[in-house]
Amino acid sequence: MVKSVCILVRKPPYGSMDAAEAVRHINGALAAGLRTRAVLLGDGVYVATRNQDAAVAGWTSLSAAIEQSVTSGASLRGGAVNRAEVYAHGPSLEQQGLTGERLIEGAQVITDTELAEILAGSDSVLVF
Amino acid sequence: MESILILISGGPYSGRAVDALKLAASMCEQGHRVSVFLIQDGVLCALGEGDTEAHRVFQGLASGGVASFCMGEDLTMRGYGANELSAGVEVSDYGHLVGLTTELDHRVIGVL
Repeated sequence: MVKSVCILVRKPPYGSMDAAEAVRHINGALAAGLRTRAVLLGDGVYVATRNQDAAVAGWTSLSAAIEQSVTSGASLRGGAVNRAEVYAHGPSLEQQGLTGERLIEGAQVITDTELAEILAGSDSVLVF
Repeated sequence: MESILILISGGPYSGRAVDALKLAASMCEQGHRVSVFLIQDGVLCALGEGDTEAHRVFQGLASGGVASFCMGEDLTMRGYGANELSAGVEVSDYGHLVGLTTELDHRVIGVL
């Protein structure tokens, strides 16, 4: 039985539905009680950058949604709360001219080695 | 010499953005009057601190005098402002984009 899932996000927010679907799957995995790790790679790091104002175009802010998955998580039976772990690939951030300070609360910057460890250590990896 | 407007929507890591920007650069080298308009995820290519191939090619175009625009609304959605863009980029809107695409002497290629 799958106990942990890695949601790997490679697409930036809003230009396609991929990032929004990834966030939806994060929330679904949390509600199902899975250890849920979101990894943002390449253009995916933009999903977790602060100051997004998607309301101007009638969208839901994906940065707010993913931040909520970390800070609030999902309530499980028995009163436990399952929160997501969000990781942004450091070299991807660096190439985009970004630092961890630009990210939402709770997001962690990881190295290539840590990326490999997370992917290898997850029962299932969903790529968006 | 042609007047060409290229619309680009791919993010910096997408092959589409790099290909489109290199296309724009080639057209400039051939002597055409090229304008580049970044929309949707394409606006991320205009961020001044970026160092991907897409960022570098775009910075070369914008600082080299190619008319370069990015959609303000798409920047705002993604959390970025005009002060974070490469030199030579103008923040624009849909009205301006429509005007550019309907100019009679403009060929429009997009959305790449």
